[in-house]
Amino acid sequence: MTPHPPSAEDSHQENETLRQENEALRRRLAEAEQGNEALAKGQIDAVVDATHQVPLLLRQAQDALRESEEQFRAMFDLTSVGVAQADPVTGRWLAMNPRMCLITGYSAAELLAMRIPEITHPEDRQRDWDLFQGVVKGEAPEYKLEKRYIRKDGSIAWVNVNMVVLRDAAGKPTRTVATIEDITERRKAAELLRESEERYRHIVEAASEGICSLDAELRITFANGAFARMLSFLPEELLGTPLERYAFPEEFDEFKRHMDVRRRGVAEQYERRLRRKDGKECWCLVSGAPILDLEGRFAGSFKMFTDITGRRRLEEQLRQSQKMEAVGRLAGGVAHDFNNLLTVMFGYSDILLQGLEPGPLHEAMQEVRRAGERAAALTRQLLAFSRKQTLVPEVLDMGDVVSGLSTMVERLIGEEIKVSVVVSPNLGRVKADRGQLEQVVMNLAVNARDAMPKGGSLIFELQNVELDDADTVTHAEIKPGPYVLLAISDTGTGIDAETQNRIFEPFFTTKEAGKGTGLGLSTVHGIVHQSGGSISVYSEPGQGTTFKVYLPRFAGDAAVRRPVSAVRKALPTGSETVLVVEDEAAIRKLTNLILQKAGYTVLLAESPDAAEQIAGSYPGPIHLMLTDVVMPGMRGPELAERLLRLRPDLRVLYMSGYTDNAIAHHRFLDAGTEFLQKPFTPLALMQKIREVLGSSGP
Amino acid sequence: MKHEPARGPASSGPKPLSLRLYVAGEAPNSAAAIRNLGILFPGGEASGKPVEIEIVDLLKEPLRGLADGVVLSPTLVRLGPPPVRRVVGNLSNHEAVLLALGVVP
Repeated sequence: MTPHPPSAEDSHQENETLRQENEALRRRLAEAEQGNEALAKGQIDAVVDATHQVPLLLRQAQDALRESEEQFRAMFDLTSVGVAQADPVTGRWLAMNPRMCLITGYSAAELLAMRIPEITHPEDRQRDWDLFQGVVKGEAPEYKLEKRYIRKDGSIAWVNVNMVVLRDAAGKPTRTVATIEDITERRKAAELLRESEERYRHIVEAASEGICSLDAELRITFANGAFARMLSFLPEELLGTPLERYAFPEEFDEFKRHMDVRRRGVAEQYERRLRRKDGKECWCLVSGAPILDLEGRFAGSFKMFTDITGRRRLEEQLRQSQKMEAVGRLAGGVAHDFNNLLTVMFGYSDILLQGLEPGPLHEAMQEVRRAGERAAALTRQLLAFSRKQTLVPEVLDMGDVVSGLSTMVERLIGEEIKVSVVVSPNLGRVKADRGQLEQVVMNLAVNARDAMPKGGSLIFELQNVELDDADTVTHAEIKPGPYVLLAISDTGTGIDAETQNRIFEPFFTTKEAGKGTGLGLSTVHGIVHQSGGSISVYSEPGQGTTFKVYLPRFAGDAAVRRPVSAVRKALPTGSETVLVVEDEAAIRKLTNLILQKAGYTVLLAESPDAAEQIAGSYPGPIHLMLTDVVMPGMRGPELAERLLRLRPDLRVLYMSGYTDNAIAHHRFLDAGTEFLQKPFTPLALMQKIREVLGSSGP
Repeated sequence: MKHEPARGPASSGPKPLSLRLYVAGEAPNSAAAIRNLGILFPGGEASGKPVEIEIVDLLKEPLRGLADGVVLSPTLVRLGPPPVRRVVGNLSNHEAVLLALGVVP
């Protein structure tokens, strides 16, 4: 301090300095107070330690920082997506969370030594890098990409990448940050779903069943090819159309009933017709199931259609043949009784005729006799139809049979119709009854004539055919194998479909009353089937008709037939002893009368038991047993076998209205068995007895 | 974080308001102080005049704080024009801050 007295100026300056210092002190005080206040309010994060020259974070700030850091760490580490940082220039990995390591299969250390393209799938590499560069250059704020990584084990990981770039204050990219979501499983699931859908679509498309789905208003929302083909539409033509359009109007009620059932949530199966584009029907087995929405409300239905038109046709054929079978059985039973009655009528008629002098009474008796013959012919037809007629099959050349008949056919059908016979070479033989085959040919020829009132041509064709399984589907009762086909074609009026269905039914006729019995074609049907064959008809109205008769081709050697003795005109007589076994009293009585008149000694038995008794007790020789085939208790062949044990020289002659069931199983009596078909005349009986006894008479 | 280089009080011409905020990383009050500064001087202006703001992280540069006599964080310093002034805390009382800085709201 200087010893000068203080001047006014000095004093003024001093005052000013003091004022300024005061001011500064006051401000520092205010600031300190304000600092204290901020501290008290917790608004301070750090205090600088002047000694160590480091800032010390206050506890609260430390906690908050640590917490924030931990939260970030946890998010980084625990997040279910991969997080990684990379160098924006080189693409080298700079940091990643454990999830990223899991996704790629590499450890963090391994990844840190790699670049992004190194683990990217080669096919995705260029695109990925272009996008990466685009974001780094600022051309796009971020990028999103589904791409593939090649994992460490070589497998592929599909990932969804989202990337952004971090920049410094100068805008220079410092690092990229990306989230990497593993979508491999999701893609696999989607792929599996797609494959599964494709597989099901393929199955549905390839199915031979028609498949469609309907919405709640019963409009078609899907139809496969098979369903469209059933209706002869294209699948896309069906879409959006109401299913009702493909029902027959007369079945709308039934259609609505089925749909009501579906609305109640019930599935069912039923048979129904669909109406095709051309108006024709297609019979289907329908499986319908309701489709319900999430709330369980009716949302439509799913339907599967199996075409059963073919099956129904077969069923129809089966019903038809069963009906024929039943009618045949009835006819056979009736015919059997008729034959017994006719035998009696013939017998007594002939006896009366022998006793009557020529005159009106003789004429009247002749008429009765002729009526009987017509009745017998009708009965034979019934039996042939019912397949109960006794056939005598022989090995035949069908060409011979048809050629042999052609003269008679020409005479029968008149000059307006040209008849031709075409026989293919090496035609096989058949085993059948000649008389019956002739009946078949004549019957079909007469039918053809009736179909051609103004003339035409009739062609008989014979050829060998092999029927396979497919052919036999349409011939319900026939087995696959070699056949001889006789096709008889006319150029007549043809037959409509309705008539074709019923043409082989007995008593079905299109002819005027009195012109046909309705038995002709049913007889043909019966004969052909009894011979193991089949017959079918093909016809178009106005185009003519072809009947095709298939007979099994015979492979074995021809059986040798016993020579038949010449027919004798005179009523033959005899003196041998004949045992007559017959349960019908009228026939027994008649036979007794005829045989006695002819000089035979007659023993009568009303049953097989009685016959056995007589055979055992009669003292003299018995030359012949004349026996019925079907009798209560024992059948003719069995009785013959027993009696032959007692009397080995006994000859046996069977008589029957039809063969019994046991014989019917073989279809025929063995060739060589002596047999007399009822009804028989006294002459036929006498001739047959002489034929049997002739060679070994007493 | 926004960095703006301070021109310092020695600049000539009409002197803009020059501020420097000392913070401790992203600690809560420091972050709040930065936010409040943004609210007080939207667009880097105060009453139409430019404001220069520098933010110094004491965790990174502790010596700069000592040189300026700053021992608490956060602290906002008015560097120029004189007088130099300091406001300590997270600057949440906007009125008091403006008063302390000598800026008329």
